[in-house]
Amino acid sequence: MKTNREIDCREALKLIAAYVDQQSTKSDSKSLEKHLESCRHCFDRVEFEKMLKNRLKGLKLDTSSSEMSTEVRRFLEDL
Amino acid sequence: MEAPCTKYSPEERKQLKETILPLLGDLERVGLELCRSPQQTEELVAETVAKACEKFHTLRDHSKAKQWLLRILTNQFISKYRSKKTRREITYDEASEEPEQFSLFDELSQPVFWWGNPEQEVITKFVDNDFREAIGLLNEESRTIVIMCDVEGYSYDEIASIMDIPVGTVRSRLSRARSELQKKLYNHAIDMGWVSNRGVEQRTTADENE
Repeated sequence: MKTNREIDCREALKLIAAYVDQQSTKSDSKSLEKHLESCRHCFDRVEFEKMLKNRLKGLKLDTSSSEMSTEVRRFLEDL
Repeated sequence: MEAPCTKYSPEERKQLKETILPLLGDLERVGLELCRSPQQTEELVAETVAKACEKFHTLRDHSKAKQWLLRILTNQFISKYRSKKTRREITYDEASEEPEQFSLFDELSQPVFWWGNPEQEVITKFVDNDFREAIGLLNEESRTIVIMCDVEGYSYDEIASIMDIPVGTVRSRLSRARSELQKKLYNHAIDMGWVSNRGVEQRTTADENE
């Protein structure tokens, strides 16, 4: 069975952004998660970055009922 | 807007309408997130649609129409609003040495206080508008990539396709943009008195006790 490579905080730091963005490879995720089990500081960093990302995600606007671009809409409808 | 694209046949115009019209809401939303002004957004969307009509014959894969339209929109946004200063900053992209990265976590966390997470407490003090203001202070390239990744939730591959840049460049630009954003959030936290310019207030106390 393939075991995950042990990584230190410096290596973990490089993997955190992609991990929080859910863009890291399975192998990188597993290595990082293993490190997080024993490193409180990196664990806190990941929690913080996730929290910040969630706040930014919450800024997504809802323009479904906006009255913008009426002229453009009319132009397209008349095509 | 100007008269419909006369160079297209009735069938092509129908296709153009059926492709762009359902995506107009996405263009408006991303446009408003980038410009933060309904008037500027309307102008940006109108310019995007005009360009899309002009270049419609170049769109081969219609399943990628959304990415294609967003690419036109973000290109229009960046070229329209970016300042001379921004153009100079962009050259960093290919530079061999990355500028030092700023991390809000590094500034605020206090490993010595194992019972609390002061960095998380500071984040809860920000209201949505604080984040919007901070994003609005970023240059156009950085603002675009933060909005695409963190607000809109696109993957690195999708952003690479939208912005027409390699995935590695997405990663490096995103890292730099987040560093800039966190620095602006930190400055705001200092202005609001949530942290001292040496970190959270508790840090000062810890230092004094040493």
